[in-house]
Amino acid sequence: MAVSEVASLEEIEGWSQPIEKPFLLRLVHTLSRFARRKPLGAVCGLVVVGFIIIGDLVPESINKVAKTAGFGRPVPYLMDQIEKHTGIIYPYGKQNLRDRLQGPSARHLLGTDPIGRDVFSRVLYGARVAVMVSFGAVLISEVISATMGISAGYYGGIVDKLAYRIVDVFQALPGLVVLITILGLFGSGLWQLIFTIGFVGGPPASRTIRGQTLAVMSAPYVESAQVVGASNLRIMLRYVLPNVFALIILSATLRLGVVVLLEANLSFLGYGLPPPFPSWGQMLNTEGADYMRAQPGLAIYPGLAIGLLVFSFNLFGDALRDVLDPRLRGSR
Amino acid sequence: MQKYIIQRILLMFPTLILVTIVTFAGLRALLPTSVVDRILGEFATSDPELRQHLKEELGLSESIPRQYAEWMGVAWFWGGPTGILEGDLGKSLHSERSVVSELRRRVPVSFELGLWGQITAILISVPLGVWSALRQDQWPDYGLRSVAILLNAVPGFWIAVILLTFASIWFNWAPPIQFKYLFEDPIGHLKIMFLPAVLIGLTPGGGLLRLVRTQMLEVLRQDYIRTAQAKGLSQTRVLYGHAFRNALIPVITFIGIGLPNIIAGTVIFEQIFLIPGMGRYLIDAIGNLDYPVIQGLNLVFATLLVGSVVVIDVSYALVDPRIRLE
Repeated sequence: MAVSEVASLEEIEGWSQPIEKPFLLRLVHTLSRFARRKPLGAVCGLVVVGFIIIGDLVPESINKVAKTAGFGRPVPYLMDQIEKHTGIIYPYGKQNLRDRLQGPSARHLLGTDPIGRDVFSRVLYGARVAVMVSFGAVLISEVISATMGISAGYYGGIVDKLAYRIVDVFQALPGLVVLITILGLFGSGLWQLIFTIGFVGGPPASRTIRGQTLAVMSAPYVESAQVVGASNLRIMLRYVLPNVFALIILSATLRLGVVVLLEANLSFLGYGLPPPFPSWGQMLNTEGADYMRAQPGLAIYPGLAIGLLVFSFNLFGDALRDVLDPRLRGSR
Repeated sequence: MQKYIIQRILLMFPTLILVTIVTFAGLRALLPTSVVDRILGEFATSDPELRQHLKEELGLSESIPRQYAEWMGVAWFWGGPTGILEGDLGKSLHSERSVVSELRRRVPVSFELGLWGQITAILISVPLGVWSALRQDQWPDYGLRSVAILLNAVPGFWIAVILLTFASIWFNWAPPIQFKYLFEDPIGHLKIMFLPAVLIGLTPGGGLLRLVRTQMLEVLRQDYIRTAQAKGLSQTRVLYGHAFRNALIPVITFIGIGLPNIIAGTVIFEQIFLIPGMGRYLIDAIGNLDYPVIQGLNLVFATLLVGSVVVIDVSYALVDPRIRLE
């Protein structure tokens, strides 16, 4: 009698349940709640994930690091596997001059380009550049803007003034012009694209983070941390950063689409990756205008790919913003 | 108010000076290849005397701070050549033409293109944005918002490429190759400028439409709109006398923020439609490592942007008395 009473008490007060569910379960819960509230945003998120998989973001990044460390290429590429097993994808540089400018067929799903390369494969491989550049550049610019914004907001005074002179200079120059100048003079490539786009986009984005930092600074927990004697670095990393993190994630997702468009513009003008590697912008270059007349697909598919990726980034970002920050709802 | 304007204008200068320092240092100190080597090719290593001679001829043999002082025109006061302060941006290393005279020909072309683009963006998206807000959650609203989102997602040059391709397939039409200036041949000029101007406006137009729509919805929910309706004003008076004007205030800022997009648009569309404006000048100069031209163009673009920010801030203060003088 008494034992059963105790058991029921435990049940009522929830003692028998674990306080926190396992991480994976929580993740699934959060995701399904997001999908129910924002179905369109969730679909766009899935499209983005699809592009990440097609673009081989994970294998490519691991292999890039492994290669510089001298391990070769430990992770297989998805695209190589599809190439081997299905036969509908060809290596992006493989030319077949006998099959130039063909229309869509079972062998070449979207036809071929002027030197007989398979357009379908090149559009798929183009995802790699777009995804690598957008995620890489956004990562870099968010690191820069978070560092600048938090330290400017935290220290104030001369650091703040200095940071804002830098931001002013970056905002005084139109992005595309600076990027063309830098990439045109110093030469272009995957790393150059990632670093320059990331570097140029960083400082202007720090304004909002600085504002949020100032708001966080007035919170009592920051003051108590200072009273207890926590170092500045510790306060910035442990107390300020987690509180501005949602803002960083938001500005990152909204910037991803912008960077894809920037990269497309740059490679369209001829400042993207050097030719053998396919990138969507470069495939649309006006040098191929005569061929597009013969084979209009050449003008259509790369642009559709850009549009789909940017569209998904934008709508996913919008949905994420609505969920994370209700104050900004519908502001764009 | 005057004090505010003067203050804003004076604050432009430190930024612009920093811009000149950054571009100058980037070009002269960080660049791995020198223009001298580019011009001489393989002779640069085999004939150091020739290299030194060319360097002196192009005025690149002095120390970097000295060159900077000469470029800025500060050196003129102690007998150097004229520079920016005297309104001289130097000569192109490649064609030996003065940058200022070249800009005088090209700036109006780009400016006209950008202005047209801006005007198309406003003409298309302000009325449509208001309409979309008035039909909130009905099919015109959904349709227009979808179009706006799609316009923001595709690059402007792709629309141009598609248009040109299908125009040439279906109507056998291609844009004219020979550029005509406004005063030589106004009709031919407008024929060339029309398509790129509309296309430049499309991308910013998508964003502007969404902004006008949300602003309009925001304003329509305000108390003073209800007051105006309650005192018996006609619906048109309420909309255009009260709501519309208030909704347009943030749109001014957007037009200023959209300027980099417009500039990017002119650079790209000048390249597609072969229009001799600043963008093509820049791209040619980068190909030739033409230092004075690159520096000059970056300075002009920066002045344009910084100046427009000041104009926007001042006009903001003029339109909205609440934010004046802080």
